[in-house]
Amino acid sequence: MIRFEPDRSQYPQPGDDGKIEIDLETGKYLKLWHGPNHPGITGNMSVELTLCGDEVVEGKTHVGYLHRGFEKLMERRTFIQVFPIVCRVCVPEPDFNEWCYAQAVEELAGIEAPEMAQWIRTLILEMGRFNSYMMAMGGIGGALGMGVIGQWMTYVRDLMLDRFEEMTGARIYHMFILPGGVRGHLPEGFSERMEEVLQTAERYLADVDKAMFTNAVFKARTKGVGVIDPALFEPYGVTGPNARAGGVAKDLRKDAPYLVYDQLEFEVVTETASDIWARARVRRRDIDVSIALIRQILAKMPKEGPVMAKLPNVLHWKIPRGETYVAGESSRGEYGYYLVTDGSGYPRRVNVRGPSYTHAMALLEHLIPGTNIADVAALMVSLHTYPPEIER
Amino acid sequence: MYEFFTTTNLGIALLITGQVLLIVVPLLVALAFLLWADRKVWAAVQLRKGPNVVGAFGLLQSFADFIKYVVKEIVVPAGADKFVFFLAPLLSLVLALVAWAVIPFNEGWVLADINVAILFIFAVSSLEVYGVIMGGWASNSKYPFLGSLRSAAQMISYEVSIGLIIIGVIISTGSMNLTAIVNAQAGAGLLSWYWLPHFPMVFLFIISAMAETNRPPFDLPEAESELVAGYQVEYSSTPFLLYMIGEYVAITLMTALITLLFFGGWLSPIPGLADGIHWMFLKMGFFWFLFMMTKAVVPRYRYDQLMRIGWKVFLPLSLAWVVLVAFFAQYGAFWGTYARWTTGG
Amino acid sequence: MEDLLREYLPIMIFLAVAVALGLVFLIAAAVLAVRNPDPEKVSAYECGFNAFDDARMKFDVRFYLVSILFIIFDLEIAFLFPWAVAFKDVGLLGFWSMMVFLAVLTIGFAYEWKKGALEWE
Repeated sequence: MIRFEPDRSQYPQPGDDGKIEIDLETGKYLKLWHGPNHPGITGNMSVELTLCGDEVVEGKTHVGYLHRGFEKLMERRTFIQVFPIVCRVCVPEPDFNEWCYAQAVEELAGIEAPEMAQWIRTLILEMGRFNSYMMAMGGIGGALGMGVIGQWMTYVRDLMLDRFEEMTGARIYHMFILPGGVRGHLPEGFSERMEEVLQTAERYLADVDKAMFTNAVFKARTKGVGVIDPALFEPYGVTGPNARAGGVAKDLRKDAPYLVYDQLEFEVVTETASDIWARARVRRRDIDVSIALIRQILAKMPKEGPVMAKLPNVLHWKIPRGETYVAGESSRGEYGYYLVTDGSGYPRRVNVRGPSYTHAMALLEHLIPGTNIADVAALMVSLHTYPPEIER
Repeated sequence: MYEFFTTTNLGIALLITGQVLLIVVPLLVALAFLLWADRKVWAAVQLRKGPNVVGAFGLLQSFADFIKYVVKEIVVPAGADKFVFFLAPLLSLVLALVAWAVIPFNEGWVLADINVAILFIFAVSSLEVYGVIMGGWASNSKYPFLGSLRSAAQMISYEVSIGLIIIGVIISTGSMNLTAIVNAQAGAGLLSWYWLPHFPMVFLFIISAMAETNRPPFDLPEAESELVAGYQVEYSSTPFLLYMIGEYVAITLMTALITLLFFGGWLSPIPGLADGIHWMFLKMGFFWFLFMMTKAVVPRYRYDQLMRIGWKVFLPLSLAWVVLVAFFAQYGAFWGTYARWTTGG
Repeated sequence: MEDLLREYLPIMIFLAVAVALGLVFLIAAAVLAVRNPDPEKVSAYECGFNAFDDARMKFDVRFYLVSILFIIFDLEIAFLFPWAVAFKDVGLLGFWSMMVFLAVLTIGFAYEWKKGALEWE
C-alpha cells in the first residue's frame, strides 16, 4: 500500500503544542487565502495556505461562513416543522437528511413505514445519490480546468431533477419523505421516463469516460496525488467512497442494510490507489451501481399499497423519552442523525453527523502539506465535501 | 496625387499609415468575430447556446462587450504602481499587434518585407512576457504576482523550443523572409508543404504556441481554480480589454505563423487551383478552430509538469531535430526535401 | 541607410498606430466611465480578507534556474539563426563546427539534467 509522507524536513517543524511557527519575515514563505471568495473552493469555506515556491507548506481550514444554527433551530420546532430545515443541511443531496430524520422519529415513536413507502424511499435516496455524484464528477473536472464535464453532468442532473419534480413537485428540496412514509405514489409512466433519463445519462457518462478518464493530462494530474494512507481511515473517520478508493470495502448499504437494500443486488465498488484518480474512479463506477439500482428498484417494487402509516395529530405529537442514531451510506460516506427526545413535542437534541465534517477539516489539513498549490482545489473536490454539512 | 504618395515624405508616411490601418482594423473586426466563435464553440461543446441575444446568432456580442468595457469604471488598486499598471496592458497590446507588420497575407501583400521577419516576430513575442510580468508586479496583489512569475517561466521555456523548431524551417529554406519560406513550399500542393518533412515538429510547434500564448491546457498564469485569474485579477475596464485583445491577437498571430511555416500560407493545397489570400484565411481559421476545441475539452496541466515537458521533452526533441535536419540538408537526403534551395523550390 | 529606413519605417508607423490605439482605449474609459473609488473597492483582492502583508516582498522562486537556462539556450538560438540562413554558404567546415558547438551544448544540458537542475520539486 502506498504511504503518503511528504518530505517536510526542510520546512518548519511543529512545536510541542503541534503548531507550526512560520516566520514570514524570512521571505521564504508566502501566505495566500484559498477561499471563501475564490473560484477554486468548494462552497463557503477557506483554506489559509502557506507557500514555499509552488509547494504548500501548511494549510489551515477555516469554516463558519455558512453557519445557520440548524441543530439549535430544530430544538424549537415540532417534529413535523423540522422538515423544511433538515433538507437544507446538505444542498446537493437533501433527501438523505429527510430519510435519516424521519427514520429516527419513527424509531422513537414506534411507527413502521409501509413496504411501498420503503421502496419509494430507497428510490429517492438512489436518485439523490446519482445527482450528488453528478455534481462531484463535474467538480473534479472543473477543478482541473475541464469545465465541459461540469456542464455535461449538470445537464444530466437536470434531467434527473425533472423526474424529481414530477414525483415530488419540487426540484431541489423535495420534503417528500415524512415520518410514517412518503407523501404519495409514483406518477403514471414514471419508470419509462426514468429509463429514458438513465439511458441519456449512460450516453453522457460514456463521453465522460472518453474525455476524462482516458485523457493523459487528467491522468498526470490525478494519479499518485493526494494519497490518503488507509491506516488513517479510522483515526480521521474516513468513510464512503473516499475509504473505498483506498481498498476498504465499507458500505453501510451492505454492512448494515437499511430500507430495502437487503433485497437488492449490487456490488461494493473499490479501488486500491487511494489517490485523486481512485476517488474519481470510485465515484464514476458508483454512478453505474446507482443506475443499476434505480432500474432494479423500479422493476422489483410493489405496484400498489399504502404509502403512509397511521399518524397521530402531528401538530400535538409528543414522542416518548429516548435516543437513537440512524445512519446510512450517502454519496460522501456515513451520514447519520442522532436524535434525543424527552417526551415533549419538541426534539431535545438533534445532531447531524455529516461526512464532510471529517473529510474537509482535519483530513484536508493533514493532506495539504507537501502538495502543489494547483492540487489543492482538486484535492478538495476529490474528497467530495459540502461545507453546508460542516456547519449545521 | 500619385506623386504625392510616392515621393514626398509626408505622402509616404500617410500611405503607410493607411496600409497599417488596413491591417489593424480588419484584424480587430475579425477578432470580434473570433471571440464570438470561440465562445460559441466552447458553448456548443458544453451543450450551451452561448451568446445569442445581441444581433443575429449573437454575432454582435463582442461589440456590445466592447461598449461595456469602455463605460466600466477603471479600478486602480491602492498599492499599485499606477504608471506600470497602465503601461503593462498597453505593452501587451502593442507588442501583439506590431508583429503583424511582417506577416505576408499573399504574394507581395506584406507591409514590411524585411529579411529577418522571423527574427522580428521572435523578438517581439519574447518581449510580450514583460506585459504580463509588469502587470503582475504593478498590481501589488499576491495572485497576480504568482501568476506573472509562472507566466514568465512558462513563456520563456517554450520560446526556446519554438526557436529551435523555426531553425529547422530556416535551414530548409535558407532564408528568414516569410514570403521566401512560403514560396519554398510551392510545388506539389499539399504534399510539398513543410508539415510533411517537419512532421513531428508541427505538433510540437502547435503545442508550444498554446503554451506561449497561455491558452488552455497551458493557461496556468490565469488558472482560476488556483490563482483566480492570475495577472488579470486587479484589472477592469479597458486595461483588461487591452490584455484580452493582446491575447487573442497573439493567438491569431500564432495561427498565421503555423500556416506560413508549415502549411504553405496562401498556396493552394491542390495543384492547379489558384493560390490566394483565401487559403491563408481558411488555414488560419482551421487552426483557430483547433485552438478553440482544445480549450473546450482539455484539463489544465500542473505547473511542474508543464515545465518538465518543456525542458525534458520538447527541448531535447527539437534540438535533435535541428541536428537531423542539418544532416539531411547537408547531405541531400530525401532528394533535397530538407534543402529546398538546392532543388530551386 | 535609405533602404533600411524604407524597410523599417512601416514597423515604426505600425508601432505608433498600435500605441495610439491602446491609448485611445485607455483614455476612452477614463473619460466615459464613472470613477467612484472607495477604500474597499481599491484594496487588493485577497479572497475577501485584508492582505497579510505587502505583495512586493522577498519570495522563494524555484525557477531562477529556468531563467539562467533560458539565457544559455536563447543565446544558442541566436547563434543558430545566422548559421541556418547561411547554411548553403558556410560549407562543410561551418556545418561541422556548428555540430561541435551543439554537441558541447548538449553535454552541458545533459550535465544540468543529471545534476537535477530540471527537477521542479
